[in-house]
Amino acid sequence: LDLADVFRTHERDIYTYFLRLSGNRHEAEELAQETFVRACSAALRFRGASTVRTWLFGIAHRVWLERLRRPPTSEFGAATDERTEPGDQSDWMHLLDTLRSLEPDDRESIVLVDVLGFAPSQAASLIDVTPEALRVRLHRARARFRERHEL
Amino acid sequence: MSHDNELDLSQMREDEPPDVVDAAFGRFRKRLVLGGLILTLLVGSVAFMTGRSQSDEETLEDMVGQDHGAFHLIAQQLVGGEEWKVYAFLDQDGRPCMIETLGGGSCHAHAGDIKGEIADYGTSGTSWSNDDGSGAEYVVVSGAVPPEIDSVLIEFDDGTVERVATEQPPGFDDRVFALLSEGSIERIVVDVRAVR
Repeated sequence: LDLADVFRTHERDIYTYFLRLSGNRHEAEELAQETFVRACSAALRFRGASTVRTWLFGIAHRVWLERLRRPPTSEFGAATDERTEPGDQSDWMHLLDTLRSLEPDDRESIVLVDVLGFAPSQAASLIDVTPEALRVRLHRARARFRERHEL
Repeated sequence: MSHDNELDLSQMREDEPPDVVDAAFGRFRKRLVLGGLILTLLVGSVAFMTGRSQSDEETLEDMVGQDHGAFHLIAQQLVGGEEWKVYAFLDQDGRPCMIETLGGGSCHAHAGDIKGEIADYGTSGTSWSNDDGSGAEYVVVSGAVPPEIDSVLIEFDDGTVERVATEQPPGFDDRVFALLSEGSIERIVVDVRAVR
């Protein structure tokens, strides 16, 4: 078993999680690194009660909560997530802007479930809310997302 | 709850993330080194103030004692679905005083035919290039020891010995230690003299 290999399996999703929450590549890279640093220390306490993915995202969620408590940097949330795919740049930016316009709780629910594919019950345990509360939050977040995206 | 408003935003998953894992290991190593330096300074200060110093000639055996008593398998830990077996010596009072060389990619300990009972104490290592640890760029070693154990000694292949303090996180029954270092580890030893 190579811890680095285990981490690399989830590197893409952990980075995506922070990128979609912060909207900033530098910020996302920093936060993803911090998550894996903490996972190094916490690895010995991992008993296999959850999947590695769920365990890592639990750490990532706590890193994100701490980040939210700090004052935003000047580039925090800036539109630095451009993607260079011909023809769809404007649609892509609109998608990002819509996601960014959501409140952090709503954004995180959508990122976990609709972007990263967590089941609502898994996402609920990650962010420490009941499955029902997550479903309600998700339902409302999706409605707001749709409403703003269609404007 | 109706599912009529489900979204599919899977296209927002990032295709080419930067390499954050290697950078994270580098950062982890720096933190451990810094923590070790602080600990060394603290220990050195206390030794200076009390007029005590540790003999440079002291061997590992001198430090932990020669009588290791019965062998016991003390750990079996699941890490990421892989099984890690770690063996340890217990002294005659039943306290673990030596943990044998950790296993490598094949996840086994180099403990020969040691037999014993499974307990709750665990140690894990990773990033070995070979079973014997040779060729590894770095190694992460972490483990849990009984709450009485203040520190563990880690002996490297080149004979150098590093003492790593244990800590007891809130809510945990055991104390834990962690080390990320370059090179190969010969063995991990719980210093019975460091028992609280």
